[in-house]
Amino acid sequence: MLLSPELLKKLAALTLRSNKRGSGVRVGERRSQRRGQSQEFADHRPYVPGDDLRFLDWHLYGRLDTLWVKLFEEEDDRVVQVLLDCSTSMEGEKLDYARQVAASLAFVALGHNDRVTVAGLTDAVASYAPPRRGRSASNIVFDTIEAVNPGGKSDPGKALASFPRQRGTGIALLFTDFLYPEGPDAALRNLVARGNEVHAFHIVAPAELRPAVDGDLVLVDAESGEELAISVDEATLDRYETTVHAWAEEMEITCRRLGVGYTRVLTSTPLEEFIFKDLRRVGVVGR
Amino acid sequence: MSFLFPAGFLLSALALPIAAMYFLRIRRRRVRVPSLMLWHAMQRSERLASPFDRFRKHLLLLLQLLLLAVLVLALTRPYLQTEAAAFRSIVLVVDTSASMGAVDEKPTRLGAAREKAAEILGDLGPSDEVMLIEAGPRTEVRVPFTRDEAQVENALSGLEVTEAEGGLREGLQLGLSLARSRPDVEVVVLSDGAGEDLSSLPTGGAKVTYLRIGKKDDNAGILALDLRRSPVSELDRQLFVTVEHYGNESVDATVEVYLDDELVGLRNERLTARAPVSMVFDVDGSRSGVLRVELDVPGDLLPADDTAYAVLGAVSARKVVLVGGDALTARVLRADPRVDLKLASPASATPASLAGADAILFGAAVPEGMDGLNYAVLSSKHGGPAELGDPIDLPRILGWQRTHPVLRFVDLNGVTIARAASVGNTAGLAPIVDGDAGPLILAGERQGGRVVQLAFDPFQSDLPMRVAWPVMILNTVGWLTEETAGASDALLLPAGAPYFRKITGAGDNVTVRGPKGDAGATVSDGTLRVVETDHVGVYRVKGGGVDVSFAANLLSEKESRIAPLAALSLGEDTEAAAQASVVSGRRELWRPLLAIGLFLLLLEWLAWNRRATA
Repeated sequence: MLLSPELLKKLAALTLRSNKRGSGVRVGERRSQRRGQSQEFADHRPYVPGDDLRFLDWHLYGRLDTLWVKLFEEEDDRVVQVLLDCSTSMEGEKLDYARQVAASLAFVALGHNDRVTVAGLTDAVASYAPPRRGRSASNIVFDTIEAVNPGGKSDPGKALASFPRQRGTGIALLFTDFLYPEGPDAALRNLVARGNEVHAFHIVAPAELRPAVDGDLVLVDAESGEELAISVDEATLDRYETTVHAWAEEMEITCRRLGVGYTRVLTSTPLEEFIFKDLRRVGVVGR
Repeated sequence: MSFLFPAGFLLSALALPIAAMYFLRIRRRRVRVPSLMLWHAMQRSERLASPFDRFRKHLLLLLQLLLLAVLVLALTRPYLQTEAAAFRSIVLVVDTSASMGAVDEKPTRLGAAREKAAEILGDLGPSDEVMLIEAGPRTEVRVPFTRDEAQVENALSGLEVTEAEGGLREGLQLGLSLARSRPDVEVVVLSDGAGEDLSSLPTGGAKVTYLRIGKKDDNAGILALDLRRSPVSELDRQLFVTVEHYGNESVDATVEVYLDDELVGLRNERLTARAPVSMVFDVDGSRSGVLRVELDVPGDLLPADDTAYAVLGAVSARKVVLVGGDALTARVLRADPRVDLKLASPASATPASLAGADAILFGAAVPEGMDGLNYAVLSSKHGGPAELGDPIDLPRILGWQRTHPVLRFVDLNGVTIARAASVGNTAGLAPIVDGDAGPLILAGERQGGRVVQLAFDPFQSDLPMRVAWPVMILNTVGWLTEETAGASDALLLPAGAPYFRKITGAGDNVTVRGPKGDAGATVSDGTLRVVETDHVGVYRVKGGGVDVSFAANLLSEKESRIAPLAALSLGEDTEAAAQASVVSGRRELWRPLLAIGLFLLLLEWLAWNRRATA
């Protein structure tokens, strides 16, 4: 069970905020860029032959003696893409935390009739679940998220190149540790180019900031198996910590430059505190 | 700088395996990390960091290589060659006299001398020889020429400062005479000079180095001590004490006199520099015990001369035995209240029966075996130790020793002697009255006893008819008993001088208890000898028929004047100026190098420990 019933109850009160209008294909709860047949009036336009006579504004005709057609806002649904980095570097607490946040936000999206799709990314699309809508789909979505297993190298840029295009645009939520040898640019550009509003969640384990190691060591890269002989002392750890902070800031700058939302979270942060306080503060969710 | 073992540099090759082991250490722990990306990034930034960080990274290796370098260097035994020859013989003459106990050097001057001697030993090469001579109250070769430094170091640590006058002259003389057996000998004197006159000492061409020990001269001491009968009362005593200050400024001194730890006299005096101050204390003659005189002067540097002792015996009558003898002599003796006279017949007079007497006067034949006893032979008819020969008629008295105690207030002018005996062998006695044909009265000490012998028969002269006779008889008793009756118990001995005493019993169970425990005593030919009287205090001799105490005191101006001499003036117009250390010779550097090595080892351990626990 990814999320407790109590948490789900609290999540039901949240909405997933977006700065863009979606362009879904079904009449959803959110306004679409296309005018359609919903109840909300948008504008008038002059009648041209062939227009549906049901939308003629007879009151206006009575006053102006001119034929005008009423236009309505078409209420649209969104595609929320939950993208989980499941490379080997995410193994352990980072992926667990990412799964929980992803499931929470997916549940919020499903509660507002958004279509939610889930994908696990390494250097390819490791797993993929097609879009689903409605609260009833939440169990399937949760199962899909839970089934995302770690393994493989990190290269989401390459993976997204083969990721199926979704109809319409929406929100892409990327859960990752940004430990990409090739850098995050390619992946982020790909998502932004698809017209998505992209938000990256940088998952960081506390042990990554200052590893609890010392002495003469051989460090083994979990993904590539590459080895590095190194003598670690307090001074080395100080320098490493400085390097990690500088790199994380660089990731944030890269995201902001590409118009991607960025939120860094330590896996030691309680889940509810992160969702109900941190994410509300940065405007990812709201009531 | 030169090296005694340059082949040791070959061991520098050990640097290669050390470096190899450092870099090829195989026991590295494997740790799985999510990605090496950031570690590589850190290393890239590290390369741009200061070179000091890189140096710090290999600090351990650097320290290890440095340690190896120092050890290799020490192994090659580098040394600094100074002016000395390649092979040397050194005679160390260490002064252990009382002045070396001064505390102006820490812990004492002797301690400082030991340290300097150890420094000299440290500078010796493997083929150098060294000899150690102790110049104390007795001169002794503690270690003959040897190359075994440890043996000399042991002997040095066994040296103890005495409280007696030293014999630096004898020590140096011995050192110089032994030095003649070797070429290139250097005699090193570790002393404060102690006011010794060495000007008549020939050096024989040997090099003498004087390492002056001591810095200051602030010392006051007891210079003289005597216990005599009071001129006022026969039964009381007077204690004479002389003290002197040798510093440059006047000081306030307190002189306290204790009789068996009871304060019986106290005097406060201001001592001006180099002006002896004498004082007299009255002592009740009815008491006996140990008199202790203590001089208390603030800032005094030599404790040995601040205390002196005297043994006070109760005044008692002198036991005098008159063997044979005439009525006149007996009457003279009876007239003296200090004399406890016993008359003995010549037949009963044997050395054994006379042993308890303080003085024996023979008016009859002297028996054999009287050695060690105090006696007077009152007529040439009765024999005696001096050999008497042919008779001399009407000898004339030419002169007499007026200062001799036996002849004090005795006027022999105009004494007529009808007949005397010529004296052959005087048996060690000295003539105190001379006649025109030889000695007429002889006196002297023989094997611990005093003897007075007349070479004429007084009743063949008009001497008994004169005042001189009773005066001479009482003088004789006084001189014979001076040592044993009352005042003699106050026997004062210079510390370090041997003590002799005739004993009558068996010598096996004689014990001598001194201020520092048992003092060795030897008995031979019925004479007890105590040699180890190097410390100031009271020595009690018990056993062998005696139970007597004597006091040993420093009472030496030479030792109390502790200002170290600037130079030793030796014979042949040579002078050994004071030096801080022996500068000649080869100074090996392996000891300081080893110390540096140990320090590096400590640093290496600290660096490793810091890394391991970080």
